[in-house]
Amino acid sequence: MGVVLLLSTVPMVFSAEDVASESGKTTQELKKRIEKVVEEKKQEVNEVVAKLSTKKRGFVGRIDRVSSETITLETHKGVLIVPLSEDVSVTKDGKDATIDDIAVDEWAITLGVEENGTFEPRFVLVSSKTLRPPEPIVLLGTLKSLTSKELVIISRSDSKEQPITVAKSALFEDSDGTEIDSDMFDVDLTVLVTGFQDEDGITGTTIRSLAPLSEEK
Amino acid sequence: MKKEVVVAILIGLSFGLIITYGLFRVHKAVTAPTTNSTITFPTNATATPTPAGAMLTILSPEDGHVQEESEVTVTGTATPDSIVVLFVNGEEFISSADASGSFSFTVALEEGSTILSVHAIDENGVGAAEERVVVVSKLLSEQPDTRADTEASSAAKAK
Repeated sequence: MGVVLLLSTVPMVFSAEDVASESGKTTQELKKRIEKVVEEKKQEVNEVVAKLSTKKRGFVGRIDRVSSETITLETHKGVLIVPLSEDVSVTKDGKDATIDDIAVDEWAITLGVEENGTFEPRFVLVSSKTLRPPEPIVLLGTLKSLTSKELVIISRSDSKEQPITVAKSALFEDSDGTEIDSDMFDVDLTVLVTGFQDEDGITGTTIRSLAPLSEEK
Repeated sequence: MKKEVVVAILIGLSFGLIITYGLFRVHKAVTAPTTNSTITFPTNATATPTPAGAMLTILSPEDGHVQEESEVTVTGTATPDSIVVLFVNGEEFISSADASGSFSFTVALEEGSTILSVHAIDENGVGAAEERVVVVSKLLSEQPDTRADTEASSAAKAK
């Protein structure tokens, strides 16, 4: 009986050893596979990190100065000197251009990448037309007079009279933004005027009442 | 008694000298000239002076942002309940900041550069304005970023 039991346990011992050895092999293979995947992913991660550290940037400005190697842009945040190396592609009004085609007072967009606070230009897109819209303006005040061509408001900020040219396409709006007739605007009404300012003065493009008018009339 | 007074004066003078030296160092650090680089980078200072009382901050987009999408969301904070106007490509969008001062606009942009001009005006007519330049372009994506690739591969090789 003892012999039978002993004989029956021998294959069991062998199979346990086999299992242990198989498990070890599997672990090793798994480890190798994981290491291989990690190596592969490392490269991908490094590529992504390198791309993340560079930021695409664009600046717009009037060309203030042109030299053989640089152009100086006057942007809304300050002066930007753009070095024109061989790597920088220059176009003017959509066509390939050289530095000789660029003139002072023209406008340019420069596109490039910013890395560690340093901007490296890749493209300079020159435009003979201004890229800056007219200077926008927003005023709040009390309506003093209104004609089809001009309105005068008393500014809420300094209590001064402010004449404003009414643009031909000017919109007269109720307090909720719906378009209404300019006849609904009465003197002493509080209005918001948006528009632009140039050497000729202020031109209003939207005149909005701050009190609801549609229900009144 | 006299000795104590002298000691007190000496201690006072020492403190004074230490504070003066500290102020001198701080002043020197603040006014130290910056090193020259190939580019004079525009500062992030507000372009339009903000009158006292008015408040306006544009949270997004970042100035000089380059994107391929033709839509942009402009978010920021202003004086609570103030009127906020966004000027873009000759159009005006009038809205108002909520009770916490937050505002948001989503507008379509054309290919090329756009100057987004945000104005906020409070109930007293005091205004503030800020600008952001956004460029819609695919040029930078179409151009292979050879330098980034080189750096990435050299970093991978180093490991």
